[in-house]
Amino acid sequence: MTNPVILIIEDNEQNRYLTTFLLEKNGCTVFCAVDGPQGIEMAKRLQPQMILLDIQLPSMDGYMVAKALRATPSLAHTPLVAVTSYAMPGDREKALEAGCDGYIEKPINPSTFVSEVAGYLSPNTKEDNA
Amino acid sequence: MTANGSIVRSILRIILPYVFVAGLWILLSDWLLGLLPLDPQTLTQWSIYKGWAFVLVTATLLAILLHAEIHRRLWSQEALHESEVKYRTLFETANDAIILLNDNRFVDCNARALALFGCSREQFLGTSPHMHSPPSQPDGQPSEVKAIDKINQALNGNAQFFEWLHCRRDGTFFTAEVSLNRLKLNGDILLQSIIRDITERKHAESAIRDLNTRLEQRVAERTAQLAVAKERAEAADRVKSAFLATMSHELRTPLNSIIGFTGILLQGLAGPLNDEQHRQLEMVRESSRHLLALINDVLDISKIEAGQLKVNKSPFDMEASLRKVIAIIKPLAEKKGLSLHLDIASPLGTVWSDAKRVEQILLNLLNNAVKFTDHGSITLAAESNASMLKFSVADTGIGIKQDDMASLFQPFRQLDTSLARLHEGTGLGLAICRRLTELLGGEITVTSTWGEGSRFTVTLPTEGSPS
Repeated sequence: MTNPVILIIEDNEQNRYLTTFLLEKNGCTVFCAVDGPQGIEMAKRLQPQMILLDIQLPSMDGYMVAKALRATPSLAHTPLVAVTSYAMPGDREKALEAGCDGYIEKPINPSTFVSEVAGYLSPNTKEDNA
Repeated sequence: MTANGSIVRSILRIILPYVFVAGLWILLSDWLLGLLPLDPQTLTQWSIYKGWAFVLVTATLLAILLHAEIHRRLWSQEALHESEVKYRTLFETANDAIILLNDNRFVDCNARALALFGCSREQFLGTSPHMHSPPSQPDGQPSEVKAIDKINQALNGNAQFFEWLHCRRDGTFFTAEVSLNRLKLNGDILLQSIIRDITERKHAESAIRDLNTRLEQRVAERTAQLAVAKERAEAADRVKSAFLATMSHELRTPLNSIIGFTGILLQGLAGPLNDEQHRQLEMVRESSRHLLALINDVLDISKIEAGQLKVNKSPFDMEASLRKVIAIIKPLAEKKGLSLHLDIASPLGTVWSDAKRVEQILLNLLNNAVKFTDHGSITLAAESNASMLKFSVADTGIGIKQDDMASLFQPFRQLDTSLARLHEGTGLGLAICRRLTELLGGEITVTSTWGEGSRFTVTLPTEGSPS
């Protein structure tokens, strides 16, 4: 992947920095949004290769953001991965239902995170919903 | 008229046999005399005898007939009187008021009727039903109109049976059950009215109704209370669930930074580290991983207790699961110089259970085995038959004291507090194992000799699997 553009929608500043740092160190171009509406606006404008989406966001939660992104024709097929600390039963299913292609549980594993993300970057890679 | 008829019948019953016998005598006696060969003088003599005989016989006959008739009449009068007394007694001693009406007027009644209405016979007879009723009945109809309607219907041959509100002479009321029947007496068409005071029955009925209403009210109140209690319990459950979800999120978010940045630093992505920095950051990583394990275990046990952890049974390859957990545990065992064996008695094939949870149980047991064993080996054995899957984790570790067996599967009971310093753990692993095993419909048992090792055995049903 040559400098893929990745949009991170995440409200926690430290987590935003962490993810950005890891991805930039691995050659990605990273943009950050701090909430849903800003994320949707940036996604439409930037047309990133991938979107990493936190689920617990203020006012507009990640499920709603995912639905809104999927409803936008130009973003309907952009790889969308939920990165979330929700780990209750059904959270994964809810994220996938809302339109996400994958689900990475927080805390992330820094040694495998980049390769996990890369796995979703190749087109038509959907997580096996098991 | 009937009395005259009866006398005429009596006279005829006497005269007719007399006339018959006397006539026969007159016809036959002269003819019989004529047959006898008598001289005229003797004949005259015999005629005189015959006349006397006639008077004697007919007089005797008359006497017999009169006697029989008088007897007959006496007997019938006596029977009539007896019958009269009998029916009068029935009438008078009836428990219900019995009244005869002629043309909307009371013409006869029994003593009970007078007692019921509180009147004397003179005050009562000749009055009409509506005069012993309030102006209108409970349904709002005027008593007079309604009474006349009922009477007319009964006179038309439709026997009536209904409830009626009467009032006594002293102005008090009583509810009665009234039946009206048409009858013919001495050629007149009369109405027989039977009136039963049902005030007490009404009271009892209304008492039962009140009781029922009160009971229904209490049931309704109690149901409402239970609904509120249920609502509260459900609300509490929702709060608990929300709390768990929030805790899960809130605890993991800072851990994400700690584990993430430690990882970045250790990978050297933020610049080179000297050996001491590397060593200390390794300690941070170890501690944060332990903290994460603790959080995961606490959340798991909370989810199980809150009934939120569901098992999803589906067919899976048991042997593949066993190899997977062995692969995860192998590095830990090797690090401590322990040998790790997998012993599968016969092909296990596909089993019907929850693969993720079975693996979680196995990992917990194997982790414990590694944690509490310093020398020797750990063996994971498995066997299955048609309905059961059995696997065991045996180690050559420190073992468990007999006294500690009972509390072994309780949450937060790492047995020896001094051990806790040596063997970091949440003390939740075995509690989670037991809960998960129960959720899967199986059981977990342990045998151990202090100082020699332990063996945990899990038995799971695989019944209900589609063949």
